[in-house]
Amino acid sequence: MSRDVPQDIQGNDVTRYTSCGFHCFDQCVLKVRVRDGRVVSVEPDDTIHPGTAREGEHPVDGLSSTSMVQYRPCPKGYAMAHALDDPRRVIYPMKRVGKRGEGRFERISWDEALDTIAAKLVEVKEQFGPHSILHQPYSYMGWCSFPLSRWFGAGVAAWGAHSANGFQEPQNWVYGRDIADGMISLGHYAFTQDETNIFNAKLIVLWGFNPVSLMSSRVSHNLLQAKERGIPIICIEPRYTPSVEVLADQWIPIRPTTDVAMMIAMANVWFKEDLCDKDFLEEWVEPEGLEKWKAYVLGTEDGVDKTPQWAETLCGVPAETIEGFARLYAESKPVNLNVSLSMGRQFFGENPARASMYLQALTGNTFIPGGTAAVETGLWWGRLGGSLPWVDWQQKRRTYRAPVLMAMYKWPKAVDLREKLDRGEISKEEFNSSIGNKADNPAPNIQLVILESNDHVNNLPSLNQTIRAMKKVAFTLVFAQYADAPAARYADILLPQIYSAYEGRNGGCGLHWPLFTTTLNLGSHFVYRQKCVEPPGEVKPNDWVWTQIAKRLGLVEMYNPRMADTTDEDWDETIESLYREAYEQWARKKDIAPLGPPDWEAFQKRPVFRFPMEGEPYYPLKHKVEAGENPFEGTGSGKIEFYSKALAKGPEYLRHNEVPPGTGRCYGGGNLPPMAQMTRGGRDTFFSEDTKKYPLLMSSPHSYYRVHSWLDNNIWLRTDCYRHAVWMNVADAKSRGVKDNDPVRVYSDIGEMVGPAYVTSRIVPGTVAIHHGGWYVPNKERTELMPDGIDNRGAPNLFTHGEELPDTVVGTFPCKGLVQVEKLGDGE
Amino acid sequence: MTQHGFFFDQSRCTGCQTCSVACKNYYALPPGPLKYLRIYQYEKGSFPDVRLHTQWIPCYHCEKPVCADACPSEAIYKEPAYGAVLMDSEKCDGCRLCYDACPYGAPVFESDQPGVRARKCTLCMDRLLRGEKPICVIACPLRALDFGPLDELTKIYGNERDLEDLPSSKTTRPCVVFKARREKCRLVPYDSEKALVLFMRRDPLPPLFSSLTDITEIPEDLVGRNKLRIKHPSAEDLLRCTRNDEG
Repeated sequence: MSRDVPQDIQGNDVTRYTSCGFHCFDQCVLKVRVRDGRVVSVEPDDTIHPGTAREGEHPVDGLSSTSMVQYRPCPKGYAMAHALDDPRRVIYPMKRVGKRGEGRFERISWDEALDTIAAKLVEVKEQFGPHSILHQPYSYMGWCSFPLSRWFGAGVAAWGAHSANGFQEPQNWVYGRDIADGMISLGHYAFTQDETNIFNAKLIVLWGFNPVSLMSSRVSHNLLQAKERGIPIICIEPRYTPSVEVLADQWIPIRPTTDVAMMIAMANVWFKEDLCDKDFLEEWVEPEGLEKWKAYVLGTEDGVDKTPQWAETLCGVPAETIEGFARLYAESKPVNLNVSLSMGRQFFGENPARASMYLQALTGNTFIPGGTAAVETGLWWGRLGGSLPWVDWQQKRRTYRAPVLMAMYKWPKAVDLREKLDRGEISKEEFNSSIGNKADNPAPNIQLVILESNDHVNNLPSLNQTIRAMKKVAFTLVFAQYADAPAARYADILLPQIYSAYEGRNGGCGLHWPLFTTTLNLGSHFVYRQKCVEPPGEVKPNDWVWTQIAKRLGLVEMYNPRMADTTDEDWDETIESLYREAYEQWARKKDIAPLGPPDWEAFQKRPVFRFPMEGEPYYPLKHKVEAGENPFEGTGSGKIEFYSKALAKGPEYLRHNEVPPGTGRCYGGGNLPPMAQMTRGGRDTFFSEDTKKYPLLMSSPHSYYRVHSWLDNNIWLRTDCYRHAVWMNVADAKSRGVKDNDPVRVYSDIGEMVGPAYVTSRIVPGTVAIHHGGWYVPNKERTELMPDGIDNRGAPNLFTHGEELPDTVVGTFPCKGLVQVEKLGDGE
Repeated sequence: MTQHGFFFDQSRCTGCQTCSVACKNYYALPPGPLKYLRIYQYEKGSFPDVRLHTQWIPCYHCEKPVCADACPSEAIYKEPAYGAVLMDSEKCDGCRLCYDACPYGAPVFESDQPGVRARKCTLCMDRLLRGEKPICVIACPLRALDFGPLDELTKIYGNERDLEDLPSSKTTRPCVVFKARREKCRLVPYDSEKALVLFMRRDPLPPLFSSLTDITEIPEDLVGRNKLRIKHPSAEDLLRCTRNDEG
């Protein structure tokens, strides 16, 4: 296979351009060379400044200020090409033989698969009613992503989101609008910033945010450019990440789940030293609530003055550092504060989320050039976001709207608890309350689960609970590339999942990535993902699958009327013509035409459209400011609110959802304080009583080499680039007799895994880290705790609690858990 | 001959391995130890005063290629146009004397099997002949690399030819210009010793460790990635040292 001679370009080689298009924040440009129907090589973006190593940097002329630069991929873009003809791949429809979880399948025909699925849909709907069918991962933010739900008359919608939970509701409380509202009603995120906004900052703070892992291409490059232009960058993080090494001037290590204490102490300094932006507070902050919070911070109410000295014992950050940072922050306007959503994804995660918004408000940084509203991990949706070309599929009007009956990640619990409800062991109100459903709503009875594209077994909190749920329901349908992917093991019917980046023609009729893709963090370009190769075996686009199922249910004229009669042979050509039509209509739009988009044929030669970001970059709520409108009209007071009167009503408010704020719909039996506070103790926090049994707080940061669990088994990454290991501090390793690369056992009351230790000084003591998305790969050792086998590879969601998070809004999607680690024997 | 070479900006390198993966993809090299380009990450210091070092090690196409001198089969030669150090694998008998000679460990082997032929970075000769830059250089997401005639590179980037922890450039005169990692600055005061005392306590719960030396004294074999080691006794050792823990 390998050879010494380079892969010479040959005359019949064909060049294609594409983009990964899965759940990544970046959408880099991949140049793909194809020969005889196979990918020969992948090269980085050359659709602008071809052949340039360091475009526009000598002198620093700020080419990147206009974003007219290459969009270079990370290793995932290259490595994915090797997965196309991976012999392990599922390339035919399969049906389960043996029990769910055994992972044994046999090949069936598409007709048998599609007939079975259609029959099961009808059967389950008839037997269990319309609220029995759940499709994930995109039944969230009030939507139901089951592609046929609207005409089939069944399906369940859910609220909340994978990423934003913990931050979404606080946005409503503080700003009166949330991310979903911004996405749906404005066509772009109201709170976002253009990538170039950071160049207007005087201080950039990355709080828990590791862009090099999460947004490795353009966002990281921009931050690097900002640093090299002399804008100071501080990282506040439990780990010394590559972002800290390359981007930060200074690292301030902090214990996970204690960030809010440091934020409160910073405000304490500002109040005492009179460092707040008084004009901003007067104009934009509701005064009564501010006074209440100030009283809490200064301790005039509870007698505890929340000084830096108070915070240091919690955070591990010396008081002098907190003071110094608070002063620097106050004098460095504009401050570009980028917070990690992971802070919101913990017990009482709404507190650091709210407090970070307070920090920007107290210093007048919320909506000024260079500032941020501190609601997102630098989620930067630029200008094109709302005006991409979209195919008009001409779907028919809905006849059914799936009701919102749970928090999106609570479906395993809804399944798990249902039998208790049926047996009368819990009341309907208790059932609904614990899954984030309104008390008087119907109780969902999920019996048919469809998992398409994101491995919900692996990637939701409380992995064992999700497995229990997958075993309990009447029917499971999973799309996956590998039969040993964690979700696939529990499939009744397993359908092969296309690599849409390379094998193309997932048109986006359902809720899939369309062929036009842009980024979540940059809207100044989009890529048309050209089909590079034919998929192997009988792999089909997801759109094709749902269209065939729709035919069997008599719904095709509603779901995909423009392709109702399209034969398999004509599929690609029809998709292409629909995209051409969308592109040409888009190119004629009055805001697009002046940008001079090339005609379709020319565009196909280099299918990346970008335009320069000239003028003042978008900063949060800029459109409101420029229109002279109040950005905070959604709060009761029309101002930024530090104190939520609704939350002050206590748990009854959340349980009955008297005032559904925004689309976040916080239901549940929570008891959140009406304003941001530090709470000691509580499940899966650094100061939990549970640390007596499980003393190490595990976090599950994103990996550079996976998007969620995608590509976990890609040997080009796993063998070559990284070791999936348990990060441990030197002191914690010493006391357990663990050395680097020793196999260790990680366990808690809800899960157990074994894996190698990474012993390092790069993580704060008392914590461990296991990167998110590592697959649950069971060994043969079955225990009561691990009925399908102990994890041999390292899925951190074995240790995150999904079933109960008492006293908080049900929406929080935890990504931390308490564990114990011990050395596993010797040698190996 | 115009001697060409690389520029490596260590202050920009995150150790992400994109260059290495792109190289393997472009040259259809299998997963495993056949890495024309190796990325090393290792830490120095102790918590919280720790740094993460990254090294980018392809073949530096030295002006004095000691690998060529060491090769009994005359399989390694200095190419006349760009000054690339190339390997004629047909002539290689797998004796590994080139590997022993090269201070950077640039020749690589598919396995530990005796007699397996050496392979190495080609400076992307095929690409150079088409007027393109090496694949690693244009692949770097953070633009940490550049390539060109060595004298032009030194005009642009200066003449720093040595980098902390790498072997001295005097022996082989590697064709690479470096920019070293930056020193960190303290924008706000930070007392590391006080921080350690704070990190030790979890009041009112039991302390996390009993002495500051639990953190600061690091026995030799406790931390795996604590120094640069670029010459490997085995393929497995090469792989272990060139993987990071960011996944």
